Amino acid sequence: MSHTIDRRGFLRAATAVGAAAVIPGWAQKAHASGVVRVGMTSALTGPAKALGLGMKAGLEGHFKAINAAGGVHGRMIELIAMDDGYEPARAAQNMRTLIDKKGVFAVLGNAGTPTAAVTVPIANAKKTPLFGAFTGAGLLRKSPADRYILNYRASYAQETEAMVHGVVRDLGIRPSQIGFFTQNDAYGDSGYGGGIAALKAMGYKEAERLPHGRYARNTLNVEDGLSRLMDPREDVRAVIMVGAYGPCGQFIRLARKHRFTPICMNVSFVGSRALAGALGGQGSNVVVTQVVPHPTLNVPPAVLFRKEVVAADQSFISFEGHLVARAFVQGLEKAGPGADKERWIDAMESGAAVNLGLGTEKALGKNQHQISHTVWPTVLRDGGFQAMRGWRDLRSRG
Amino acid sequence: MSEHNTPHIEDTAPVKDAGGTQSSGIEEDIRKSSLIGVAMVGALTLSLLLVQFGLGRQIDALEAEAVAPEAAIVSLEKAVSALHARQTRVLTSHTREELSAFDDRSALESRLTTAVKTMGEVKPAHAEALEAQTQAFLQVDDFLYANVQAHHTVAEAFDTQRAAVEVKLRALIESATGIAGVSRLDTVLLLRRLKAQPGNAALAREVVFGNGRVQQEAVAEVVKGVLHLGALSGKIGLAPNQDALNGLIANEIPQAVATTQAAFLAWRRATTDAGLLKRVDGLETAWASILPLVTDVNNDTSLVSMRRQALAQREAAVKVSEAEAKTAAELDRLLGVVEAEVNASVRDIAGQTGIVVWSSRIVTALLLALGAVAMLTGRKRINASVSALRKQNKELADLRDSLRDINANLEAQVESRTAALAAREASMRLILDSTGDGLAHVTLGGDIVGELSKSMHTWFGEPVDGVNIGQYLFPEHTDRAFEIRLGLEQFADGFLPFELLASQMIRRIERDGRILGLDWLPIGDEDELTGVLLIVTDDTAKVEGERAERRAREMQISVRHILRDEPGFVTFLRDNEALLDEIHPETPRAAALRALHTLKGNCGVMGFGDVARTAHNIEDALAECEREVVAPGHVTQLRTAWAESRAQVADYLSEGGALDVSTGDVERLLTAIEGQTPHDELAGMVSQWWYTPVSAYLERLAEQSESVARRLGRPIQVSIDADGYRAPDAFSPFFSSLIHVVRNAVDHGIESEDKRVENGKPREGQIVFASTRDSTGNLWVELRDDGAGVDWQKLRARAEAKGLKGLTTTELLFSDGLSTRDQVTELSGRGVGLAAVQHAVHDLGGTVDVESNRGHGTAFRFSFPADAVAAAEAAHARAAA
Repeated sequence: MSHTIDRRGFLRAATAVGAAAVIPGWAQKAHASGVVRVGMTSALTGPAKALGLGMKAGLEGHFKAINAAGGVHGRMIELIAMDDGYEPARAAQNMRTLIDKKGVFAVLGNAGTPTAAVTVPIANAKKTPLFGAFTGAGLLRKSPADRYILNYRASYAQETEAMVHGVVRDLGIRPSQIGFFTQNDAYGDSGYGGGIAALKAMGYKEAERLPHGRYARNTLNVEDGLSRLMDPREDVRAVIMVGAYGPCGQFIRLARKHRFTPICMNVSFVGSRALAGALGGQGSNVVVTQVVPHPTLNVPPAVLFRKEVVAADQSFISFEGHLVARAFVQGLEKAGPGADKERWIDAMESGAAVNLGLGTEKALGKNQHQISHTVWPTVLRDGGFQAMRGWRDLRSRG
Repeated sequence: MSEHNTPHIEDTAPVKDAGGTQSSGIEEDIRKSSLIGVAMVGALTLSLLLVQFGLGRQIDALEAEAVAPEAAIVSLEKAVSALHARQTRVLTSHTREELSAFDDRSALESRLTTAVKTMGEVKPAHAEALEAQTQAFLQVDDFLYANVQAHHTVAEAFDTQRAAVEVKLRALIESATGIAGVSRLDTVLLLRRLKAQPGNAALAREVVFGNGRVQQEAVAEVVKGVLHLGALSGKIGLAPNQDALNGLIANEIPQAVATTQAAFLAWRRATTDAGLLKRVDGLETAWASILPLVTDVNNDTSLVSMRRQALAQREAAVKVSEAEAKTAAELDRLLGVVEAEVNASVRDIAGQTGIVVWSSRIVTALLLALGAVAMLTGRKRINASVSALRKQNKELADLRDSLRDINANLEAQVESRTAALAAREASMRLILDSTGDGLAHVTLGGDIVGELSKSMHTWFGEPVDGVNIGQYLFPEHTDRAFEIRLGLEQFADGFLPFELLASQMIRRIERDGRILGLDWLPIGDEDELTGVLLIVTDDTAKVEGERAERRAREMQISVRHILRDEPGFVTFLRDNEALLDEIHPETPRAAALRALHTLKGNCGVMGFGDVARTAHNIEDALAECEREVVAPGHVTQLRTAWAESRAQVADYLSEGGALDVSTGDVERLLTAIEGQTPHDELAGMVSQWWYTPVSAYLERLAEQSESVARRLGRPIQVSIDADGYRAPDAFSPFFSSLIHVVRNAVDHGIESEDKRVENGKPREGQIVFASTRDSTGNLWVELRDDGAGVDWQKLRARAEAKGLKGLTTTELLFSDGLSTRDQVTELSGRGVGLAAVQHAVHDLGGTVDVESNRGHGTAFRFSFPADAVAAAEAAHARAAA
């Protein structure tokens, strides 16, 4: 009997030794060198590639400028962007590669809610910051906050809340005249939930019974949803839309065709340039709320953005990427020379607000992991989306 | 001694013969016993060897018959059970990946074949059967593995296919709902138009009887059918056997298909829009393409077919398992047979071993019993012989002892005694020579007996034959030699105890600068003293050491005084030099005694011990010899002692004199200057500073008092009450003499502590010094104690005994040579001190008054009239000028 035990013991020992030998050297502390590696997994190809490429352009623009000025505490910032084609499975794989094999300091500017559903748990498990993802979904904004998940942008709920406030308070539309058109997934639900909560907070108790059309993700089957909003028993004057530009554009076109012209309000994720394209640049009462100011404005962050990102790449999305990059760099500066992931988060949470020049940045803390809570509405006009001075702009045109 | 041994040997010769006869019997007995012992040891060894041989053979047999086969069985069983464990894992694996971990069986296989081979070697009879069974077992194992692998392959393919089907079905549903959405929108648009034109009857008809509702129902049915198909594909995967699968294929699936097809038909019929119709057709085509993937029994990759294959494999697996169980059982049976054989042979060997062991035990027991009997017999016989021998030896020893006694020789005894005495003499000489002390044995007649120690020769020279000890010690002092002779005669008389007489003998001699101590010890027994042992020791070093130490101590006292009160010490020197001048051969006896006494007292206190002692000796000489005057030699001695003591402290005295000026004095002077006082008066004030304050004198006195009190062991407490008056130097001798009063007070006045406490007084004697210069210019000095007071009666009796009658109390107290004390000490007791005080007072024109109550203390009051004080001041001023 003892013979068998000996052999088993040996086998176990041999396996352990083998495993130890396999642990690669580069997995250990890449940040110890003079380089801070940051990762990004996003859609760089496929229908949603505008999101990933935009964010990448914004991030890279600023990092390039920082590196040219000598880096942060002498460390250069290197961005490794990986394509996940907006697929959760690939996003997970990329996340592991970035953290385990590339040894990234943080993952910045990922796009999308379904991908976030897999990248958030990985970031938490591997204790690697996931910052400035291009999504306003609630799962990145838990309470209490996940230590490793930090956001730049306002949530979808805040965007829909801004829409509700805009149409009800400024345009005098009754809450009962608001309808919803959302994608049938977590993204759509989080925007819808925000709108409902805002309405209830305004004292409208029956928010759930408001007309609500849904469409299946990755289809253009908007008729069913439209039929619910056009129901003759309803009187919908404003539609809160949480979806992709394709179905949303289709919805707006079809509605126009049937002379149904409520105010159509889209959240930032829809992609304003694509939406404008889908609508042929024409239309009135089409609103997209943004989580960054209009990049053409003459405000300091926009000026800096236009300086550091080439004109061809300038968009709301790349502007957001640029702001995320700036916030990340400021945290790195605050954390001091040779900072690691934990010190970066501590620096971000240290209480002093990250200053991006927006004027509305919130100081981060243990339970406040979102820098901006502001929503900037834009309206489709003259072939593109223009900044709105206020919601009343719509009425004067309308 | 050897001469006397010859007859001894001759005497014992016949006895030896008798012993020889006896001892040969013992030897015989011992020899027999030894033989028996040897025989027994031999027999035991032999039986041991036999037993060992027997057991060794059994062990060999056991090795061959049992151990090897047993080991082979165990390793075979282990190999088989390892294979079984592997099979269990193979069977419980879920995927092909899991299974692949068990792909390599070669290690286990080689273990099994090795075990079988070993078994074949030890049990050739069973080798063939075992080999066959093992092969069968391995074959079954192969089947099993292949079966499981095939099962996993099919199951995985099934899962993949099902997932694909599900994706397609979901897309189908999405399309269906999309199309449904279009028709729903049409309906809503119709409704909106109707809402806008409520009177349009055609519209109303269209809404109620149009195709919209039919389409909605058809879509719902299609969706239901699609969902049903999805559920069925799940059911196929879970079908537990072929029968259940057949049931699904024959019943549920066709029903679902038929319902869905009917729904599609209804939908097409209700759809008029060409575009929409096309989409519905496309949907149906998609549906039709999915169906065979699920239900086509002729298609190998349909879910149904794959499930069928999987089920078939499972059945095959069951069969393989049965076969496996059969081969396993057969293997087990074979091993059982081998094991039984092994057990039988083990039992056999054990039986044989038992016989060997038992027979050896019996043989050993028999041998031991025999040995015991033989030894008991031997012991009895040897015992008898030994006691006979002991008896003979005793007789021989007695004989020898008596012979030795006879042969003892008186002459030899004398010789040895002489030698011992000589040795003692020699050792005595050694002691005498080596001891550092002088030793002399002296008869009571004074004759020196025997040798003197070496030191005696050194110190006193070679003794002349027949010299008397007295003459020997004091060749030049016949009186002292005579003293020694008298002492020895008193020893001889024996009236007084020896120790007492010895203490009265001369104890110390000075010779050639040496101080020698003499000790006398009795020689002889208690009743009769035969002589005296004189021990002379050289005490020079000891005495010198003591003297030096005393001097150093006294020197310290002097220095302490100088440091504390240098002016006082200077005063002491001056006053006592004056006293010294008074002492010379012409001085009248009384005056000399007073001076000596004061000198002695002062010097004793100030650390001039040598002077004090010399003064004491001169006093002794005057008192004892009743000499009229001081001898010139004594005067020289005293002056020398003073000069030496004076020289010793000279270094510690500062060059110039010191003034004692208090802050009060300075303040008074300043006030006077500020008050425009004339120069003469200021000069008078400052010149007063040359004088010593009375308080300073009294403080010195107080200090001396405490010193005296300490020496006498009478604790006192002194308090001083004096005004700021400064007395001219003429008063100095007076204040110096006051020490006698203090000494009297402490020595005679202050009682012992116990007595004081008994009388209700404070434990410490209270002494008060007070002085004041009254307004009329008289100076008052008072010394007061709370001691026992003067014993006037005793004093008076003593005076009368000396022929002095009718004296006042003061006169009594101050008369020379009277003292109430019976003992004279260095400090007081001669009755001279107070006389010295009186003289000092009278010299200054003062008076003294004594008040003393028995038990309540004594007060001395000295008063100096104003004119006397003024005269002294004037004298001082003159001297200063």
